[in-house]
Amino acid sequence: MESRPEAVVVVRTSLVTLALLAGIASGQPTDAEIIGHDASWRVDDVELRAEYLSQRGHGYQSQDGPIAGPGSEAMGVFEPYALVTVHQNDKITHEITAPVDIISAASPDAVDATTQASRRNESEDLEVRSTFKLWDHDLLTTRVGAHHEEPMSSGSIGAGWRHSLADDNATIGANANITIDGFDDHDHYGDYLGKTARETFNLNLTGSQLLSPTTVIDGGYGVTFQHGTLDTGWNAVPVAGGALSNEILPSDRVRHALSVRLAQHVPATRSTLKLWYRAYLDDFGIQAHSVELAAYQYVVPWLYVRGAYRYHHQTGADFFTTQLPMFYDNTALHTADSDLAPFSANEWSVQVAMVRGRTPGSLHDWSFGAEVLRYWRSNDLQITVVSLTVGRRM
Amino acid sequence: MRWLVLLAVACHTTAPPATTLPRDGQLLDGSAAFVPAERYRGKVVVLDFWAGWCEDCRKMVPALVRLHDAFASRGLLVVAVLSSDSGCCASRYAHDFGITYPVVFDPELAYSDRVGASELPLLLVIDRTGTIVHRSRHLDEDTLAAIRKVLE
Repeated sequence: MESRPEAVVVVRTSLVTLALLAGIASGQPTDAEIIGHDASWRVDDVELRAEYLSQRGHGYQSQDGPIAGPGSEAMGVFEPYALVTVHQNDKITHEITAPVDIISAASPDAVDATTQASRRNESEDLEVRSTFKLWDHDLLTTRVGAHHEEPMSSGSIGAGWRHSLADDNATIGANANITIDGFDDHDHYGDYLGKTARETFNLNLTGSQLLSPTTVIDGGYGVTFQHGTLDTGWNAVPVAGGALSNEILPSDRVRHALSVRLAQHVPATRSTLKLWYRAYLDDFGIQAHSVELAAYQYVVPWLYVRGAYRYHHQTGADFFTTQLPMFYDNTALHTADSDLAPFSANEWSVQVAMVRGRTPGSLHDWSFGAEVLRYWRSNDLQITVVSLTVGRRM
Repeated sequence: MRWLVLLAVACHTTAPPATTLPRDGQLLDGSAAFVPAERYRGKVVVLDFWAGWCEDCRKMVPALVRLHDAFASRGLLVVAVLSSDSGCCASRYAHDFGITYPVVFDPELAYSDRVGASELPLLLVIDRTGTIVHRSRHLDEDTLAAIRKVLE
């Protein structure tokens, strides 16, 4: 015999009432009574950074040099940068990033005949990254960004998810991003060819595992698919006899990257060592291997020094050349872009940083950092970066 | 939330945190007497790493007092670990901020390092075996759920 629906409702209602009465009778406060009201929107943290990048070197794609020879790639970038962390509630926070690049390039590429791009350029970015704590072990992140500079505007969106496992001793995660760039198309003489675009889709899978109380390993795999106008337009390719050709790249590119990192802390000396390796492969024919060793040393509990060295080696794109023959097929792929050349690169950096929350006296809510980075590679490119950071917890 | 600390280890400067209550911590009470971590074994403990200058830490004190009042009779011990190189302030802070649970201090932040308390505030929920079962930067529903679970 089936119970009448009304009877089920009565029984359920009675059980709920009894449970509520039991709770009241026990005098146990509810979660909300213990936690209290959480103030809603507020600014948690503001960080300001200024960075100056100086680049020197030569590449065959640049026209700022002798005919058929490599041209200058000299460039300076000044980047003020602001990061604001906004607390919405216990479950949701937002990070708003607003870098402004001011680029001064001594390389008068052909495109400067019609625009200011690459001679002196300002670009603005705005990115909002929101974090949602869904459940105890799951975190959702979303990202919305916009970028504008004189010949180009772009927008990007992304979403990610992370899940902790094994009593939080391991994590897995995935994120996906889409970026669409719309820009003016120019040829290597600077002639305007109209509007064009490219789209980029990116998927990353990540994981980490605590191996011991002082050792952690993490890694990831990322695949990126690009479609559209992948060339920069104004990049030139020298031709035997002194002529110049335009760059011709495929309209699609698929890139794969696999990385793993091992971190070991040494409590006795307050030191941490990190070893990182990355393998890269794409369908342009580029294969790359990178390795980095970084060491962190706390001088006092609120101040550490970080030193790092990175080595990178890559093969060139299948269609890279520094000079086309006098009679060439102008429908075939070719580029002289030094970034697509075979090369080896070295990079070292030194950073000094004060840890916010540990700094003494009246500096408790402040953080300060300074970093010098030097990069050089075998095909004549050198970069020096100096950055200063100041942050304050509000 | 331990994964957050894991990511900090991977991407930043902190060490992987301890998963159990370190036995050799040098916590001191208000009179600079050594407080052995073993004292907390066999109890359900909430360690609150905080500092007087930390606004978020100060904001959390009333909620921790309510937590202490609500669950002390069931065996919960709330302990404030003051990130300070001096014991002078422990009793003063307890008085100024109305803290009704024990306050100890962590000279040279060695204990904070061991448990991965690189940012304040940090709450650790520790079960009776000394295992850190939950860590959070806020006293939220998840933290209360973890406390209720280990008190059962």
